[in-house]
Amino acid sequence: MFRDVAFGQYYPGDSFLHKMDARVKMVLSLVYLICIFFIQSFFGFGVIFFLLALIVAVSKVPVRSVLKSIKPILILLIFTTLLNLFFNLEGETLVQWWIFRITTGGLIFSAKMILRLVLLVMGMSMLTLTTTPVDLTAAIESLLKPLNVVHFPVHELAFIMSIALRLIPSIMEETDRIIRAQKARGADFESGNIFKRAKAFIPILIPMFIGAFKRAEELAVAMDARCYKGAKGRTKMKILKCGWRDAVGAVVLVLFFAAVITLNYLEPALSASLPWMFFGA
Amino acid sequence: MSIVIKDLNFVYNPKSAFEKHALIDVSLTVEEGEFLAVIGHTGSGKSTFVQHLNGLVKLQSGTLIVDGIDLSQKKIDYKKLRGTVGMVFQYPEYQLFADTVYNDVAFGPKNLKLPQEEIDERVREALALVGMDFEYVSQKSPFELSGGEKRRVAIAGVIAMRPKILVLDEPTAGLDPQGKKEILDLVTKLWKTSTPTIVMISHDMNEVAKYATRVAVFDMGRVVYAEPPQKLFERQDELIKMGLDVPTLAKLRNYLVSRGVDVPSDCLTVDKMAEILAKLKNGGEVCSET
Repeated sequence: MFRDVAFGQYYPGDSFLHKMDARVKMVLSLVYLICIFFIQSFFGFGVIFFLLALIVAVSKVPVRSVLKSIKPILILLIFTTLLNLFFNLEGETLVQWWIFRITTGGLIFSAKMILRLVLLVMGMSMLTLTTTPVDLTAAIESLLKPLNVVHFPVHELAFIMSIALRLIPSIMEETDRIIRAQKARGADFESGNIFKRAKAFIPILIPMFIGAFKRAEELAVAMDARCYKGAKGRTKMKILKCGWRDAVGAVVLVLFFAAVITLNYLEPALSASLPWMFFGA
Repeated sequence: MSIVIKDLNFVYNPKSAFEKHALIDVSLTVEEGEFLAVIGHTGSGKSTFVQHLNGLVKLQSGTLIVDGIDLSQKKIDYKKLRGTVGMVFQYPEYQLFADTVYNDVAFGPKNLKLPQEEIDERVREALALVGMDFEYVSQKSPFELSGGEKRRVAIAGVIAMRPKILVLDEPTAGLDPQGKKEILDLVTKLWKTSTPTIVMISHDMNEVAKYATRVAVFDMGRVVYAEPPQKLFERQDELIKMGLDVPTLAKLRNYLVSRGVDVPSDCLTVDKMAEILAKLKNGGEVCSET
């Protein structure tokens, strides 16, 4: 039941992207995100699409796994597209039927919205696909370190995250087993009205919570037994290191960012030479 | 014939980076009245295999007929199937949830939509079978009980379904020797009285030798052997190569045979072995003091 949940969808590999520093990847992802919101023209989207294709190719992650990341936002995508299509009424009318009117403005706006969202989610998923959850939390801890000055508990926050990441798969596995055990005793989760179904989950939730609390207590004892006392004096087993790959990655991204901005300025000239792309808008 | 399995295959996460062939062309027949032990290294596919038996894992390819119910059909009567095959998971005490022991044991029969009197009768019977005092325990919270008691109550919750086939996944894991013996004696008692067919996963070869009538060995998703323990444990070298062990008495016997002493293969209980050795020592006479 829970086997299909892609949590921490890390795709094991040994590529250029996998070997980059998690902190750099995180910062570059942020830059990528900002870059996407700078795009104004379809040419810009073309450039970023090319960048994404390049990243995917370099990472050696199968395209299928990357495309899968769109699945969770599919409903959002369809919803926003429909809204934009029917309520943005700028430009010439293309189709009119009953109370619906589709205009060039609406069409272009929704197309850009789709491209923006899809490129954004796929780009972000490249971060989680090529970085282990452990490295991600380490990067967060490292990047948030300046906040220590204002007494923000950075280490504790990162530690809570890594414990959660560690425990979620175990708890899911245990829940899976409890579900099977109750199913084996004839429990039925699929029929009946909503109240009946909600009630059917009690035999799962109670053992699950008991198990989770027990696990948490055991972990606390184990940490205590090994003298855990917070961030003070704690060393790292795996130290993040920047290298030439990170420099290359940063330069490539900056170049693409520059290209996007330049294209924003050149757009009028370009679309004048290629008028067919914009339905004359 | 109780369970018929033919060319069963199962793949986890098909067509992904985590694809894993858990079962490869498994064929096996379990007769009514058998006590089948399933052994194998971790990840050999034995858990996946036993979960097929009551439809918890969906059949991907092959044939599987359990007590006349064909699981390769599109529409399966799961209620009937789960009433036929009882499943005791590893650490079954983790599935306890109800406010009282009574309600927890009654959970299965209630799901089978039985009348109230029959549920009550089954709960009493199941608790008696696992050796728990009904008056003492029925209104207690299952979380007040000791580890061994919890496990017995959890097993009662399964046998209250009155299954014809009982599947147990390492029922003795994590128990002390006394607790282990109690659970195994309980399983034997169930086998002799209420559930005619037992399928049990175990890692303890001494356990297997003592209780099972036949042993299925899983290795890398395949059934390598399915034969009586006396015969199986002659294959000491092959089993060790698979990361498995051989019971102590079988080791002794295999050693004696390799040294030219003729010890019959049905020597897998301490008493029997003592009798045979005494006989050999006295030149065929049974020593009276044993």
